[in-house]
Amino acid sequence: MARRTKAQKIDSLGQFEQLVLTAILALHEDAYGVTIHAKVEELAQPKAVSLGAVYVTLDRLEDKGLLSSWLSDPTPERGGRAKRCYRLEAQGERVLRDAALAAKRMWESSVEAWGKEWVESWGKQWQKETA
Amino acid sequence: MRDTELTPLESIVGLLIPPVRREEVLGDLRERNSSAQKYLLDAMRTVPYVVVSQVRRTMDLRVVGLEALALYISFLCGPWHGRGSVLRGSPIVLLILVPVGVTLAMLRLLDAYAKPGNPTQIRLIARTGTAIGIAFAVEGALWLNGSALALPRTGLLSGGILALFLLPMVRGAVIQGEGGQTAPAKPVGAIALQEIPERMKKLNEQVRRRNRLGAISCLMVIAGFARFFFLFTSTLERIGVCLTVIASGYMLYQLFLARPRSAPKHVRDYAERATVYRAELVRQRDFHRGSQFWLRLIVFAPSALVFYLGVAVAHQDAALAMVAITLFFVVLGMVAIPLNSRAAQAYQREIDRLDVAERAGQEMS
Repeated sequence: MARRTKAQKIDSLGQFEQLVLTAILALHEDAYGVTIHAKVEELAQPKAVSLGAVYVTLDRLEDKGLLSSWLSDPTPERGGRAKRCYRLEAQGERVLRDAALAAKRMWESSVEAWGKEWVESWGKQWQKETA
Repeated sequence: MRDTELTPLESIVGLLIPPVRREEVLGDLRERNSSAQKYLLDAMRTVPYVVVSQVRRTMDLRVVGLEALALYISFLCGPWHGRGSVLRGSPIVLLILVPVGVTLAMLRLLDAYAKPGNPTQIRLIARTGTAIGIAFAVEGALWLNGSALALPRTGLLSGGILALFLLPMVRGAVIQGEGGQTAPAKPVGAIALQEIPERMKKLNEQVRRRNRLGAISCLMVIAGFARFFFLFTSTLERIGVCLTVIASGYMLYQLFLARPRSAPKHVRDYAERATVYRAELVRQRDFHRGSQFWLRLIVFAPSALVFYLGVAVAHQDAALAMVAITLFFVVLGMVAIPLNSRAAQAYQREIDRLDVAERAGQEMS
């Protein structure tokens, strides 16, 4: 059944959609189900993310025209099955850039409101978590 | 990786994944899991999401709405034997919701598991038959349990048979109208003049399929209304029946005029073939827009209105059914306008591409 591309109507993204788009951006040519899921889990720490949720979001983003996909050649480690690789479309990059700018503005406003001490304590906590 | 352990499991899991997504999902599951236990757990967590996502992707709310109306009307009017025996009483109107709901849910699943591409009429009928069959099975289970939700057997059977005819027509008209039966070969970039014979062939196949679907629908309407002529005896009803038969006949005549025409055999030159192809595209475009389309719509409107008004006057207990049927045809008419307009636009785009190709060919020579 034919679907309409909703790319023109996209104004903002949900948080999980932002994570998936960021993962694809970071993975460059190696963005497919397994690697995208691993990267999204890394970005969403400490939350656990299911592979199925990643598939659903990939489908939705593709329908919105933010992503495009294609099947690669089959590989033996996958039982001779192909990967579905993804890449960001121009519209996807634009929307992700807008989301990143909004996050940056949020960060700056938070720092302004909560002060330098909060930034320092947050930095220490972050270092502990990532160590 | 224990291949021997995973392969039979993969075959089972593969059956649960919609074919469009099977390749990559099975590959991803294999890459992530080395033991059968982990594989199974991962598959159990992942596959439902994949199915739900595919259902969402293949679902068109306009089609679902029309299907729901068509099913409701079928189960409401299927048992009509002249005096609306099963139509009386509000519980029946509510009981119909069970087979309608089950059939709609099954159709969504069957669409999600269908192979990609434009489904043929036989596939559409097979899918509809399967969905209605499952609705029958659910009703059977309700009878066996003595549930008050079970629909009377005569209503279910005749409603199911009517739905089996009506639903594939509605689905075919909308799904294939969107996807390509009414549209020419998928246009990608400019046309090379050498492609014209192939495109002409594809166009003719598509038009032939569209005409076949249209002709079957018209003949079914004529047959159904011919039967109504003997069932409905008031003057107004019979005038409505006659008008509907005439309108269907007119539609058949329009389809006959719009039948595909192949290029004459002596035409070998590409430029000549382009001229024949353009003439065919113009003919098909005009079938979907302008006076031809509006005449079709206008011819059907009064006949349906007179008939349903006649039925509502003669059988006041069936007023609800008549409202539902009238609503169905109003919605169908409203959906037909954008569908035909889109098909006409697709033909026009193909004509524009052909013009560009011809101009380029003239400049080259």
